[in-house]
Amino acid sequence: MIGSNPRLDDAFGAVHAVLRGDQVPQTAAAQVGLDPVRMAFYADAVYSHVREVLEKDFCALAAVLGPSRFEPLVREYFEIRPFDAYELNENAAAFRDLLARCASAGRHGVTDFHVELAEVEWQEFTVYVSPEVIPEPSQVQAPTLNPTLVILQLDHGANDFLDEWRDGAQGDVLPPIPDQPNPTTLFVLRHPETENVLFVAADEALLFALKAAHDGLTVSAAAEEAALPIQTVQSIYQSAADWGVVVLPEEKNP
Amino acid sequence: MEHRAPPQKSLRFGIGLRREHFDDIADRLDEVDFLEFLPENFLRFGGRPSRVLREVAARVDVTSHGVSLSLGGPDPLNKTYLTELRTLLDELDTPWFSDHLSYSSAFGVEYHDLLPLPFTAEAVDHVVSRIQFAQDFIGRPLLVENPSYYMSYPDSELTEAEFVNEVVSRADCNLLLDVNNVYVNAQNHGYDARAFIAAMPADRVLQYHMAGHIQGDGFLVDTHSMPVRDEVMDLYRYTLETVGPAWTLLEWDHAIPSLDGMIAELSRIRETAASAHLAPGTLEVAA
Ligand SMILES: [Fe+2]
Repeated sequence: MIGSNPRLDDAFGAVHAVLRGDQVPQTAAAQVGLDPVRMAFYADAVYSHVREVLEKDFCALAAVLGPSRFEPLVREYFEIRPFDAYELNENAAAFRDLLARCASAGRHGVTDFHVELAEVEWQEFTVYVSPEVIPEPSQVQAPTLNPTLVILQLDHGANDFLDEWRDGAQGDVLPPIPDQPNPTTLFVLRHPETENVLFVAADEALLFALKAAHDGLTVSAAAEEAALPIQTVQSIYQSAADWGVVVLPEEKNP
Repeated sequence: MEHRAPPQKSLRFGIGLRREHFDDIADRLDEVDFLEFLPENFLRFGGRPSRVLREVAARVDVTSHGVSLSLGGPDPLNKTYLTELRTLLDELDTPWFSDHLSYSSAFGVEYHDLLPLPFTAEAVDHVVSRIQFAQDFIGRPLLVENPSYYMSYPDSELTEAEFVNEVVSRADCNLLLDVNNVYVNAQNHGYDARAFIAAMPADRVLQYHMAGHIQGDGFLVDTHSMPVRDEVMDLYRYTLETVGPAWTLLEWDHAIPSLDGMIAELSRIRETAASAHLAPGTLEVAA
């Protein structure tokens, strides 16, 4: 298309240079006769969309870092990762990579905790919109894993921090950032009934249910394989179903 | 390619389908005639967004209002987006789909904002062929919306009204007339809003948008964050009397009120419409 519209192309090029921050509005505006103040207004709007989606998808992280540390990250992300997806949130996915690089280089005050926090928040979003369809109890023959389930290995307690922050209604007073390593297997999932996204630190029982459901084992098969009483396995599966980690067949889930 | 026949122009009232209302919209469908959704917020999503959209679409008409076709942009139209959109609109059987007479991406970058085009013959040629392509690809009537804009190009040879007329007639598409945008643009660019409305191709206008705006730094800004201003209500009444009835949507995208608040504001729009003196025979109110 470029090449057939010389005057239009000049306009596209000049506006683009300002929107991307490659040129100051005064210079570009002079080339195409536009008002530099209004060009700057559009540039601010486009940049704001970047900040807003990062603040929305990583809202705990933004709160923890505060504007003085978050804004330079937004600016750097804007510069290195021009948005190219029509679905706004998709453009925010690679923010985690920038955070990881900053953490290893010790830049912008980003730590491994921040990287972990961002990962949990991002996975909460992906789970909320996951195209996976969770089967109804009537559609499964054996305990079945919730297909929206994402498993994260955490070391820095981002889940506990998020729980505390949200319990405090996400106020300005932030809970303390955990300072001891705390290895955790975190299940992030969309609940089959409420559709709410939740996370739960996996204990031994949930890990057992995960493996047994992954292998498609019925209660009796799982009990036999693990040499456990049927009632024990039943209650493990039921608890996993209450969390939404597995879907139990109808008769097992009255 | 055959398009689905557009429905008769009629007076109906709707609101946008927004995440903030997912929990209660299904219980309030009696109070709206139709819902409008932004396809970008649904196309790739499963879960609650997908479930709610399909649930409401089974019960009321839904219209699709896109923000990323970039009809005026320099890059080739996004075929992936168009293909995804066509699949969804076929499933929901929307009466039409809409996007803006502007551009939102260039040189591979998505701005997530609507940038104006110069009102030139060159821009008409450019956008007409793209509208035709999109309309044929989707196989449903495409309504282009007059966007709000805050900068004007010195090489514009046409007025905005001439530009809109030229585009919709040559592209053989329909028009989504945003009444608030007309008001905002008229104020910001110094033209007569009523003259602009009177110059619109009435038989191609199938939908109106109503929204709120704020006073910015020396100019009005179309924010969709407020109730509709009285001046815009007056202009809407004039529009109905001049252009005729069309599906009317309340747009509210920031600081979104509760569903009660949305429906109360929609009632104000209904009351304004009820006070308009419509030409005999133009009114076909939804049952
Ligand atoms: Fe609009």
